[in-house]
Amino acid sequence: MRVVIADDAVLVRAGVVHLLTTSGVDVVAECGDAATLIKAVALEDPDVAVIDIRMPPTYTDEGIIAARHVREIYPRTSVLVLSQYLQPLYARRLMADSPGHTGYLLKEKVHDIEVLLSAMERVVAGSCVVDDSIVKTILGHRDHLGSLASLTDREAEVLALMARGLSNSAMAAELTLSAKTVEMLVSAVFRKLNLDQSSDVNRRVLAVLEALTR
Amino acid sequence: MTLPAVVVGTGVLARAIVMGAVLLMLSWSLDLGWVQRPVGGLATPGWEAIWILAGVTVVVLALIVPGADVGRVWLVALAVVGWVGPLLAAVPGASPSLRLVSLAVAPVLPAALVALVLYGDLRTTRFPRALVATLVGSAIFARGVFYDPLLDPGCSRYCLPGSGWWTSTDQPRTRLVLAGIVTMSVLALLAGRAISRSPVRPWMAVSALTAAVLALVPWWASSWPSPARADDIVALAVLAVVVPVAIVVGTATLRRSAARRMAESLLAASPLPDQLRELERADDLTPALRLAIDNARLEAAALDQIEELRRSRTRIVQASDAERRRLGRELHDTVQQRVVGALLQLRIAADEEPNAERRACLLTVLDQVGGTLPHLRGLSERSAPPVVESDGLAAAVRQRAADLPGLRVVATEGSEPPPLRTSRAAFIIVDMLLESALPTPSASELGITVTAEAVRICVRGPGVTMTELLLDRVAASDGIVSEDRVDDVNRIEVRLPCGS
Repeated sequence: MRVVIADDAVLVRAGVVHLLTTSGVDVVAECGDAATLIKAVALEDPDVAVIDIRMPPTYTDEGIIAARHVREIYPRTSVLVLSQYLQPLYARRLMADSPGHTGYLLKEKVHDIEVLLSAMERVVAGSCVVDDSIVKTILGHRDHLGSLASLTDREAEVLALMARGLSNSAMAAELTLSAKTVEMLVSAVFRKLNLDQSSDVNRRVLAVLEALTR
Repeated sequence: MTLPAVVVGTGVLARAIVMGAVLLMLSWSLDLGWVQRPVGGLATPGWEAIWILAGVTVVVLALIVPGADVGRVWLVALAVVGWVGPLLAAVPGASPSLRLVSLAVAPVLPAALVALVLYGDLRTTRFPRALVATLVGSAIFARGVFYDPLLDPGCSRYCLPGSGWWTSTDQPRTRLVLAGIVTMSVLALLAGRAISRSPVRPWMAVSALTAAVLALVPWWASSWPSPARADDIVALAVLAVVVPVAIVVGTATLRRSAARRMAESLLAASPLPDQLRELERADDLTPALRLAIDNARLEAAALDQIEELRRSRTRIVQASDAERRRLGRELHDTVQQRVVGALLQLRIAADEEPNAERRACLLTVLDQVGGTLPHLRGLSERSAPPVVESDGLAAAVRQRAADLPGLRVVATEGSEPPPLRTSRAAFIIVDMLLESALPTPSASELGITVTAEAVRICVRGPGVTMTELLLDRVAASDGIVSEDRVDDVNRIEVRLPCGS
């Protein structure tokens, strides 16, 4: 896997590069801002760009803007955005047009190389990845969140797994349930949240994000 | 139009001369027989001074009638005393001491008449007070010098034989000096009254004292076994009258000066409403009107200070909010980044550590350090929540409330978001409410309603309590906060205008 890392914090960038390199990942470029990132993606054609959400010059949402630009101009390159904010709305903005090959991960998880590699592999494979901390936080609050309050605990678990981009079979394995049961739970979730039922996993993630951020 | 001071002074002088002449001529024409007979009955030898003192006391007591213009009444009383006194001296067989007393009080009549005529000017104008005082003093002195009751027992008030003042007493110098003492006393009384502007009692007390001493000292001196020397009588009168008067006037002057200096320094620094500046320049303002102008000036200054305090409080709050956002950014941009960097280095060190025990130790440290990140993230997001700017107040409040499981959040937004400053202020107030005013989130509700005019924040639940910090913070944002109890549940409602 060929990776471009974009983060203005030198220490963090060096640490991620070291961890990925020792894990056998080919880090083809390191960047400190969004402009350099775009140039590096154009030049190196990586499989995935790992991008910090806040970069120069304004340190607000340059990472999201750059990630959407990369997805639009260089569709072969997947993006994984790292953020220190537990912001489901940022994730929704990132995935609004094209949820596939896109991921939103909390930066504090980068030291866990297994989590980082897993997220990178899934976005390269075309999945939509959302940090489960975001979903858990919102669902933990679901009692008073409109239609989410109508979900049972099991349905909330299924919703959280859907937000992570898991397929029905993956959810069945995770929850140790039959595929049929998972299908029924997924249908119930979509019905209660009034979501468009889709077999496309990534569309399901986006739909879930939209529901969670209403 | 403001007249020149010379013109005003000349007018005052002319009026005094004309009115004074009219009053004195009126007094000439009175038939004094109907007054003299009962007065003469009172002039039992040895009791004359007592009657005079009693009369003065009655007059003084009569002046304490509420609502009376004490100044005018007192001047009338003085005029009566000055008029009746010499009549006692003219009673056949009157004792020398009584005649001496009459010399003391006689000058009071013209002084009181002149002061009465000029009373209005005395109270309203400034510079002519000196002129009035000069007129009064001159009248007193002339009266004291030229009037002799033995030569003119009441038929004509003003006979001006040049030798009269030599013959009416054995001590012409005493008469002259006593006249001078009375002059000074009356002037001092007038000055003290003008300076103190005050409560009548000290002024009345000094006046009564003056009259009593002027009556008693000569009478007492006349009863001494050996004839009193003129110098002794003069010295006694000076000590008994002039010294207390000087003390009272001096004290009032000092007090008034200190008060005036303080008032003037306050007034000098105080702005005056434009419409009163022109009026202030007029010369014919009554003390009451001048006081009203001064009060208006001080009120305007007080209102300006209140407005400046309000602006200062707003600036302080805005500076505090800006600092809070800066801290939030620092936490995010610097502290969190460094902690993540440290986690990565710990991870690398743990992966490269061959010793299992040390690797386990490093992983333990990594877990502990990693555990600080959610707290840092929470602090950063609460200090400077970017979602307020990117996604609005309601989204920020929901995210903030996500840390309090069980809290019900109801957010209603209008078509237009409120100004960013209002949203930030509202978020801070929500944070304060959730932090300090809400002891049991699980049984509570937080409501946010955003309209074009205002942001309304309502929190209700058991134990919800107002805090002083919340009151101050809402006030600094020009908001209104109310607290009540509905269905046995406490409720706090905050309203922030969208212009705050």
